[in-house]
Amino acid sequence: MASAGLRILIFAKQKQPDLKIYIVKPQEAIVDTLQKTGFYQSVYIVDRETEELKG
Amino acid sequence: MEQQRFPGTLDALEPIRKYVEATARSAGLDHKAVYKVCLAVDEIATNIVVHGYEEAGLQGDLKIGASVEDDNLVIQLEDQGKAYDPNLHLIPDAGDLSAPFESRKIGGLGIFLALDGVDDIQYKTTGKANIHRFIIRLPHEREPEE
Repeated sequence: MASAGLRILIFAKQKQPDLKIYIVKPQEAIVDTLQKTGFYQSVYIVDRETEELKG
Repeated sequence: MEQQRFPGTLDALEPIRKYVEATARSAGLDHKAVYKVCLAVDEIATNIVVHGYEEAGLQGDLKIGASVEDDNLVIQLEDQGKAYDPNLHLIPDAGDLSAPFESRKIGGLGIFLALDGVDDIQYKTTGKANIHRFIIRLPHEREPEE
């Protein structure tokens, strides 16, 4: 995940503070980026996309 | 060092990424290291196109090449845009990185990720060109077991 993707997460959360951001089954490298940049605590990492997430 | 040349536009990012991925794999890097090198070069190349060329009102190329020097893979990226040394960029500190989304600044993470993805980024500008050299220490081959 590049910085452009991280910027989108920040932008979305700042536009809609109540938004919950789920990341479904990310690769290890994505999790690594999320941890290093401090995003890990602000998103929900899940193993699969549930019907609830599909809305 | 043999170089490939691409126009200094966002369309160049995909072929550059493929070049870096193939080069890093053939140099023996593992999956995670390949990902990080690709990310590092992608972040810097994006900055060159967006800030060095587009925002500066300049046009030019991106030239990329690679070599193995001592025990390092060296990927060299050259442009003729506005000069900017990534090592002089103020990277986020621990406080910035632990801030909640609501108070985060949009931007500033690209160079942080680039510097994190490789062992070193050397930069110089000659007046005619800016040269980034991404240095990646290669894994030592394991000694054959007896």
